[in-house]
Amino acid sequence: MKQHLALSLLGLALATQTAAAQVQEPISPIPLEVAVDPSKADLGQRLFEDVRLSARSDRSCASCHPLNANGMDGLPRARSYDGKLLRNTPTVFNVGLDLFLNWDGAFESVGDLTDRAITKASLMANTWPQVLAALKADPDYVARFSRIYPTRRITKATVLDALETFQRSLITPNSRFDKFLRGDRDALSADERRGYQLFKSYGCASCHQGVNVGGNLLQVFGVFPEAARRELSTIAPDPGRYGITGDELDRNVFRVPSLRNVAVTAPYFHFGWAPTLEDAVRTMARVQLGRSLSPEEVRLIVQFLGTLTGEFRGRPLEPLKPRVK
Amino acid sequence: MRTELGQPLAVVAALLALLIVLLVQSRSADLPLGEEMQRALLGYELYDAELTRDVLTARAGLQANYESLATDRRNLARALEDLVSRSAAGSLEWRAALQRPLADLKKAHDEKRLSVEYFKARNALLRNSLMYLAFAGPLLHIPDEQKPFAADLGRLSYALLRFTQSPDPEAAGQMQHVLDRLSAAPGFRSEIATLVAHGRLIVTLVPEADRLLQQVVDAPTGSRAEDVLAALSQHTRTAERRAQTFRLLLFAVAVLLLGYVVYQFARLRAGAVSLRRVNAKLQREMDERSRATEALRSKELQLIQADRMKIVGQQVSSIVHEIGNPLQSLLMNSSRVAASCDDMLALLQWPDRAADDATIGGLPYRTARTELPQQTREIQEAAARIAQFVVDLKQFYGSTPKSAPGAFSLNEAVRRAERLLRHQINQSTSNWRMNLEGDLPAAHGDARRFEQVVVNLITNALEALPDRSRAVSVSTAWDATDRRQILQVEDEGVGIPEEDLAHICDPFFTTKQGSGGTGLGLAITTTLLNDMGGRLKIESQPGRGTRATVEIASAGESVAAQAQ
Repeated sequence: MKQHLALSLLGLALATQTAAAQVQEPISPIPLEVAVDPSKADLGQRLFEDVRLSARSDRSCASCHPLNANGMDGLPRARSYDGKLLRNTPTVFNVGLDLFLNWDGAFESVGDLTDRAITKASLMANTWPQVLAALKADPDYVARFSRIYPTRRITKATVLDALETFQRSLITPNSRFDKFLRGDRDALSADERRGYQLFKSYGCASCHQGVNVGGNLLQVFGVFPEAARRELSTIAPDPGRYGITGDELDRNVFRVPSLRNVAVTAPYFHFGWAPTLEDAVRTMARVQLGRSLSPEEVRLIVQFLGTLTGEFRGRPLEPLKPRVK
Repeated sequence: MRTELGQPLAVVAALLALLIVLLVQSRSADLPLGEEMQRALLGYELYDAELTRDVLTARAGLQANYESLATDRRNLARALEDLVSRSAAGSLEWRAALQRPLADLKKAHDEKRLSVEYFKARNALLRNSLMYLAFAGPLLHIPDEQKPFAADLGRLSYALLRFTQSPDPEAAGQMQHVLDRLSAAPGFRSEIATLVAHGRLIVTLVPEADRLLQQVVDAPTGSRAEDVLAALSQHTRTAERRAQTFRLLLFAVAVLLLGYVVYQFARLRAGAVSLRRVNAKLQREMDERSRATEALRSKELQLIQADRMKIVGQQVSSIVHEIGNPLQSLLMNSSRVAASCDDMLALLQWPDRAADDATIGGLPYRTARTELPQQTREIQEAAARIAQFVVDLKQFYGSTPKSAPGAFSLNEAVRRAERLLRHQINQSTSNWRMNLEGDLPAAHGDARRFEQVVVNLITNALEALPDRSRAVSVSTAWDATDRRQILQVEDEGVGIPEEDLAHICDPFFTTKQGSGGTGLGLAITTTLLNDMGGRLKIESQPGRGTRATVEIASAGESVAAQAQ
């Protein structure tokens, strides 16, 4: 009893600091709609799926972010335009709700990221004059740009605006968890609710929080270094954000990824080495929280994570079928 | 012409261009921009304050998640971008004035953003570890055989409470000590190990998070924003002063332009005046020239006329010669016949009876006795008139030899003419006046010819009188200015009609055809005077009278004039 009393006291002490966090859930629901100009979004979708954006006219944005495949390629690592392996492709869904984009958080604006994707040698390797010339040669584009934009012209700015508007429109609202947050207590099963409680109490929600359950925070991968070394012994090293800032403080720092639709966007981590969500949860618990979860705890948390899968254009997202080689 | 017009136009255009430049400069586009910039800066400071507030509440555990911090970050980035784009929109000076403080603000902004992100990461871990100790700790199942740990766990809770309240080195040391004891204990369990690991994390994370929090709070973004504001107001003041200067210059140039236009206007007017003057002069010259041409032509006409006259004169002298001899015989014989007639009639003292029947030359005697002498006298007079006309003709057409010019007394010539015409004067007027200048020098010319001039003029004057009561006056004078002697013959006669005045000196022009005028009198007079270097001027008012003025040089003057 004594020790229980002592720890209760400890809990009391800490409760003063955590009380407020209990008032409000760390996760907020995705808005049901985003205010975008539908004609711009339509135009953006056409561009998004247009292979002429790439240097050899053989790859579009949708090649790696197919909308009918949960907005990503499902590969552990993306294949670059020049045939090398890149990091894992994150889904394009809910990209407009992220504060930081890419695994290393190099971008904060969808437009900047898109600009880079079109011109980067490893992605689409194109140049703007070539992109604009190709688009201007298409009467349908000329007519639509001139109808939609006050400048009436196809420019880098209007092309990026249409693409960004489209990507911002790609939200997956109405997940069962969002329904739960909106007051539908029955939207989650008892196990899922227990999983959510574990998610919060084990500290996952310290980083995976906000509307996108992540995406707004940079965090070191490997809070518990020994555990991380064990976990990543077979994985190629990646200095993370250090690669772009060169700051020692950023070594092994990555963007905390969004857990929205996490159950349908396997594989996991920046090099996609975790094929299942269970693997990913176990790894995270060891590397970031310094604890080993019981299979039951993992099951509960995975149950909860499954409730974060939303609807795209009114239809619930589903797990991808295994890719045929 | 083009340069005369072009230069003022160029000056006016240049002044207008200057006016426009000054107008643009005096408007100072930076001023409205400054107000917008000020608002944008206030917006930035507001977002900055929100960020600091949200970081503090996050540290206090009062934020459920980092969404508000994400929003703050986006808002601040937009606000800064807005500031930078506004700063690039103004004038060169504006950009120069804002560049440095904005760069400083951006630096502080970036540093603060960085601190915030590191803080977020540390804070997330800290909350995680605290959460573990708060929620997982109490769930630990501590078996009885590990009771000693229970006391250490109790110590740990107190140490943690103290450390979180006041994370000073002493409290950290105490935490460390308790954690060391826990980890060094035998039979160490993995759950205890996790507890220890999180405890150790807390020991390092709390100071780190607080240090980052302090960095966020101390970030000089607020004072940098104030610096931008200060630079802005400094620039605004400078721009306002500059605009004021340009407004003054604008006014000055406007006055200059006005002055220049007025000056050009005055010049134009002066030019117009002088143009009119030149024009008038030109007109006068043209008139003069046409008069000269006219004179030349009349001179030519006169020469032609003179030539004709010469030919006529030659013919006249032959005619005169032809007439002269018969006339001499006529004159001589007629006077002889007249004398013979008287004598013969005296001899023919026929008895009255006989006389009644007798005829002479077909005429009854009585008639012939009275009419014959009369008829012979008429023959004599007619011959005499022919003789006079022939003399006049000879004189006019120069058949009279030119006498050598000498000196004569004007007054004497006048007095001789008066004596010559005494009879005629008495018959024509009862009002004859003569007023001769007492002391005249000798005139240049021929006395006898001049005498004829005077006779002609006086005769004309007398013949113009309608009755005897009208006056004729003759005067001589000395014109000291022109050094000439003047003779004037004035009458109160019928005058000369204006249309005749120009012709009265022409030969054969006469208004006295009926009374036997030959039309040669004034022509001869003019010719005579011209020969002597004199001049005749005739003025007349019809009904009032006529004045003939003769100017003639003094003898010495003429010589002197010729010598010149």
